[in-house]
Amino acid sequence: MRLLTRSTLISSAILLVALLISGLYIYDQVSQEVRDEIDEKLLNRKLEILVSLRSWERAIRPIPIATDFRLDSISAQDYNALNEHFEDISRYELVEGENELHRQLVTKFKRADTYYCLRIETSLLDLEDMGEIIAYSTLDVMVGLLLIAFLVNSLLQRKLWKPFYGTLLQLNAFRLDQVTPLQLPGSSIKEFNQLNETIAKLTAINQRVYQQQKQFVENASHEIQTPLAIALHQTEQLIQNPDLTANDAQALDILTQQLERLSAMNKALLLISKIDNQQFGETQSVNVGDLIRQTVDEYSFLAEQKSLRVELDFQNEIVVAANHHLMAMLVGNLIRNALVHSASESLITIQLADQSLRVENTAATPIAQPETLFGRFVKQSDKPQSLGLGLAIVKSICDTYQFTPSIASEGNQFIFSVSF
Amino acid sequence: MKLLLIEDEQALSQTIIRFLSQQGHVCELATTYQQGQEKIGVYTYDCVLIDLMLPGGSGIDLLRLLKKDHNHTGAIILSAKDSLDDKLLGLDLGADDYLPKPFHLSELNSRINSLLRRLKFKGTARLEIGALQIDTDARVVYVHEHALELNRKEYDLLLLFATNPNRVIKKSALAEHIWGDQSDQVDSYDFIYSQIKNLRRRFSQVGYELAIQTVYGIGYKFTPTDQPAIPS
Repeated sequence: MRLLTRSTLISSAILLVALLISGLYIYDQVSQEVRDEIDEKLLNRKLEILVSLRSWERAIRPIPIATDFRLDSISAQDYNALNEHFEDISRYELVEGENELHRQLVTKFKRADTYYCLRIETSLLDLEDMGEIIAYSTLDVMVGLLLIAFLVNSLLQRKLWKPFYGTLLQLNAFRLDQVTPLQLPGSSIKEFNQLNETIAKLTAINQRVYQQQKQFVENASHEIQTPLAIALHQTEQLIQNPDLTANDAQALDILTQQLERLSAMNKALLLISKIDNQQFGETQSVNVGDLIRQTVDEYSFLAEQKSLRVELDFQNEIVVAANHHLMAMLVGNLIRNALVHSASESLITIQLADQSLRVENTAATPIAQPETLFGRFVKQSDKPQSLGLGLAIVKSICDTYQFTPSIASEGNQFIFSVSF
Repeated sequence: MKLLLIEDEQALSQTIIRFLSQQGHVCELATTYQQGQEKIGVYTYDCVLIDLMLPGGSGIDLLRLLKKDHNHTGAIILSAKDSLDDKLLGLDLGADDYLPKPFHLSELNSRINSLLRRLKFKGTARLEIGALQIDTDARVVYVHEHALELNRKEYDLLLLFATNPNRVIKKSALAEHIWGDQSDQVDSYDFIYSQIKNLRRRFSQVGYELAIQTVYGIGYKFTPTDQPAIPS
C-alpha cells in the first residue's frame, strides 16, 4: 500500500471515530439539557395545576376530557408509597399514527382528606427531532471533513512527499556498476535533504567498494592465471622431450591435469562472480531456439560418438532480453551437461513450450537429490574431473535475469527446465 | 618470421620466446609499456603479441598505436583479463586474435601460423605439410591433390596438428581447441580419442596413413610423412 493511501485511510478512520464519538457526546449533552428543560416545564405545570385546583371548592373529581394531566384519587396507603418522580412513557399519537415517547411527572397531593395522584405529561418529540438533526449534521460535517482530509492528503502530502518519491525513483534505477554517482534532487525539507545526503554517501561508498572488488577480482585472476600459464607452458615443453620415460610422462600428465583443473576452476569462479556482480551489461533480444539449434549442431559429434538421439520439440519460439554471451553459456551448459551425462544410445529431448525450456535426458546412473546440483562444486561421483560448476553457472545466469531453473529426476530420467 | 612479445612476466615470456624460437621465428621481447612503444615505433614486425596489463600502461593503447602506424602487422592479444569488454574492445581496435591466459603453446602456435598465413599470402597459399595441402580459406584438405571432405571438428583438429608437426600436443589443448573455452568439461577426453580415430579413417579411405601417435597417454603427436598415394 502506498504511503499516501495509508495515511489518508488512517486519518479518515480516526476522523470517523472522532466524529462518531463527538456526535454521540453532543446528542447526550443536548438531550440531557432538553430533559432538564422538559422536567422543569412539567414541575412548573404542576404548580400551575395545584394553584388552579386550590380555587376549586368542591371535592376534586377526575376530569373527563383529556388534558395534559390526569388526576386520580388514591388510597392513603398508595399515597404513602408514592414518591414524586419523572418517567418516560409511550403514547399513541393520532397524527403520527404511531407510539411516541412522552415524559411524565407523577406526583401526589392531599386535599380535604382525599389523596390524589397527579400525572402531567408532555411530548418528548422535540428531543427526538433534535437527535435526528444532530445525527444528520454530524454526518454532513463528517463527509465534509473526510473530503477535506482526502484532498489535503492527496494534494498537500503528495506535494510534500514529492522529493521522497523522486529519490525512490532514482534508487530504483540505480545500478552498482554505473559509473556516474547518484544525482538526488534537492528539497526544502530538512529530513529529505538528510536522507538524500545519506543515500548519496552510502551509494558512493558502495560504488567505490564495488569498483575495488571488481578490480580485485580481475587482478587476482591475472595474478593466479599467470603462474598457472607459466607452469602449464613448462609442462608442455617438458613433454616434448624425446627421452621421456613412461613414469615421468605419467607424473607430467597428473601435474598437467591438476594445473588445468586449477585454472579451469579459477576461470569458472571468476565467471560466476562476474555474473553475480552483473558485469555483463548489454542486453539484447536473444532467440533461444536459434541458440539451441547452433549448440546442438556444434556438439553433434559428441552425440554421434555416444550414439545419442537429440530431438528438438519447439512448440513456439522464445525470445528473451538478456546478454547473448550469457544465454549461449546457459544453453550450452545445459545441452553439454545432458550430452556428457547421458547413457549411451539414449534419447535427449529439448523442448520449447510457452515460456520455458526443458531438457530431458537419461543418465547412466540414478541421481539422488538432483536439486543440490545447482550448488557450487556439487558433482556426480562418476566424473571425478568435473568441476561441478556448470550448473552453478546456469543458476547464476538464471538469478541475474530472474529466470526460474528447476531440476527433477525420476529414476534415471533427468529433467532440467528454465522458465523465462 | 619476426615477432614481438610484449609481456611483463619474465618466466612466461622466457617460455614463450624459447618456444617460438624453436618454431623458427625471430622473437623480440618488450617488458614494459615504454619498451613496447619504442620497439613498435622503430622496428617492423610480422606479428605482435600483446599482454593487456603492462607496467606503465595498457596493452590496448599499444594496440591502438600499432594499428595506426603498421596496419599490416598482425596483433594477438594475450590476456589474463578474460573480460568480454576487453576482448571486444581489442578486436574492435584491430587485433586479429584474442587468446586468454593460460593458453597452450600449441594453440598459440596455431593461431600465429594462421594469422601469418592470412597476412602474408592473403589466403592464396596452401599450407603444405608432408603430403597434405590445406587450403585454410576454403577449409579444404588435399592429399596429393585429392580433396578430402572433413567435418568442422575434424578439420579444426587436423589444422592444430598440421600447424604443430612433430610436437606432442596435450589432450587438453586438443579438447580446448575443439570445445572452445568451455573448460568445465575437462574430463571428457574420450571423444578426442574417437575424433582422432575418425580422422585417421578418413585419410586411410583415400589411401593416406595419417601418422598421429599417442604419447604415453599425455597427448598426441603428428609426424607428417610424404608417402606416395596408394591407388584405390
